[in-house]
Amino acid sequence: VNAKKDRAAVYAKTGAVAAVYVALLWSVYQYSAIRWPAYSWFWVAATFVGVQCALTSTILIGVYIHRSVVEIRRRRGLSALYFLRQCIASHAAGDDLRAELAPTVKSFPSEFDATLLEFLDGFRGTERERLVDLAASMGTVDRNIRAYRSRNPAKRRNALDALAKIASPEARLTLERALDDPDESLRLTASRALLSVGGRAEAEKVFATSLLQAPVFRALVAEDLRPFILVLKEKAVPEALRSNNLREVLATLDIIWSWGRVIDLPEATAFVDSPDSVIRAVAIHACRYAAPHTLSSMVPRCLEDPAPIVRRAAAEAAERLVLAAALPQLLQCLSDSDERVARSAAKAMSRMGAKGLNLLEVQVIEGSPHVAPVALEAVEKARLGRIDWE
Amino acid sequence: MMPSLSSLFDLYYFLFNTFNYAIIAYVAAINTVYFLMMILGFFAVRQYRGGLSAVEMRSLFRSSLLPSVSILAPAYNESATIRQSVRAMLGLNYPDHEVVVINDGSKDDTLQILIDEFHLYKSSRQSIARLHSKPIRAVYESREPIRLVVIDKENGGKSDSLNAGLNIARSDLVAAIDADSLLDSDALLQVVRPFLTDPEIVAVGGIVRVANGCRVEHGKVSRIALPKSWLARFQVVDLMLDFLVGSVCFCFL
Repeated sequence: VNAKKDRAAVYAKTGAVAAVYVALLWSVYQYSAIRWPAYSWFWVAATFVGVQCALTSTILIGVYIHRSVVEIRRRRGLSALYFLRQCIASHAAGDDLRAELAPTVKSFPSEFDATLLEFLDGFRGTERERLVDLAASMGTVDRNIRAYRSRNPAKRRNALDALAKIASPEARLTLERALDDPDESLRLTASRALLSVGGRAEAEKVFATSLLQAPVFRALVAEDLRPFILVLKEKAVPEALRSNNLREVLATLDIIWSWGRVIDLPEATAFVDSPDSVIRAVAIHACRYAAPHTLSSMVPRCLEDPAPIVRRAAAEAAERLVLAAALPQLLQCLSDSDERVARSAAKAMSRMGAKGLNLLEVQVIEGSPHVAPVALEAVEKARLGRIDWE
Repeated sequence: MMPSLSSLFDLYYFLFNTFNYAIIAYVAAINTVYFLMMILGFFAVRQYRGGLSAVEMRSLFRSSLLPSVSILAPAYNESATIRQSVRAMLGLNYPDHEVVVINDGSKDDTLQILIDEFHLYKSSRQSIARLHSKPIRAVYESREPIRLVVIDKENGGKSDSLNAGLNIARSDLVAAIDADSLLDSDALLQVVRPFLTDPEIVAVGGIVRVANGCRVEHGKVSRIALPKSWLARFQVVDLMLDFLVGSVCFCFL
């Protein structure tokens, strides 16, 4: 609904500008053609040239004026910067300088906010608390909450970043609300901001939010959730795996795979037998970290799965876990109808020492025309040492 | 019977006027279309949610959920720039990408430069003959720990080279570029993002900018500038209009 509204707004604005443009053309033409009726084609051309030159000049002059105003404001702000820094530092040290700061903050609110946020980065403990109080009393929190309600996405993102730095109760509340924002980029910013200031509860909330988002969101948030892996493993992850919603389960397995850290989650192995082939494949990837020992015994069976995506995941797991027990099934996979499965199997075999390489070399000589090239490529890579870094 | 001078003059006048109106109508139409596209593009860009920030890029780079990418770069007589271009492509900021250069029967020493510069050996990597292409003479890979594949094939044009590259590529996604193009260091991360946002997406395109006149160092644009010749400058403006305004507008539509 939001996207449709946004599109409609763009069309409406374009239509409005186009209407003004056409009206301008028509008026200028009418005015010129009536006054000088001869050579009407000349006036058509002259109208176009004149109107377009006028529009271009207006835009250029507008840009110049805007830039000049911004520059003047910036220079005026610089004059107050020294005073603001001194006052904020003294306030952090224990002096109460709110009364002295108030008139300057009224004149230069954005400069004050930027300076205060810089200071917040460098302080901890009581000094930081004093600065957070100052942010609340001088209106920095309110200004950023207002900026978050703006229509400009960049402004809203900056406001959320600022609120994350302040991390006062009101700021946290706004960040939590932003997790449900219709704009994905703002949900992402809010999630990352909450994780940067929050604890267990915030991590669980962000984890739960990320399960319903697009893969890019999960990929980004999963990295920020890394410091909370042990916390999430206790309750949030097992709960998500018990969910009846397959999308949530898939997202959880995706995140475990993305973390790439060994965590003990034996319940993840149940999904290796899921009726959905995509879930089976992702579960195999996730179980490499969540339950490597249990997975080892399941890989040979998975290599015979009817779905190529699962066979490929199993071959990759066999490679990572160096499962010599899976060699007979991997050998069968060399002649798989899906070439990606065959290549993954060959790569896995080439990592299993002399036994795997010998089997591959036999296939190079005796294998079918489909199998021999795949085996040869894997042997060559292993012999040249490429397999170790690729 | 000969037509009178007056009727000839009338005919000439009529043709002259019609021609003038046709020219004016054409210029007016094209200007109006460009103007509307520019306005639409302007509002569409204002609404754009913005790309990933530098911090988000770093997070995405570490993620194992990123698909692998093969960059296909057809090259024909590119000996002057191939070394720098391939180095730039190999140095792109992406965790899992390979560069596939397709030497499309170059008559110069493009292939030899690649062999010498990147210590290539004849690889046993096989082409999956799914798409038709001119015969492949050899496939090379590097002895160094870099993911570079060079296909040496008979001349067949760009589309034929891309077919050969597609047959040899082994990644989840492929990116087709010209061998003399320069990619922004984060281009692959940006271009992969839509695939991760919407699983229905099958292809994406990037914005192309003109590097004529810019200073290029180590495969990266170090200083943006316009070309010296005025003709080339007009060409840059025209290309920017097509690539920036046109792309943004049609993408929105």
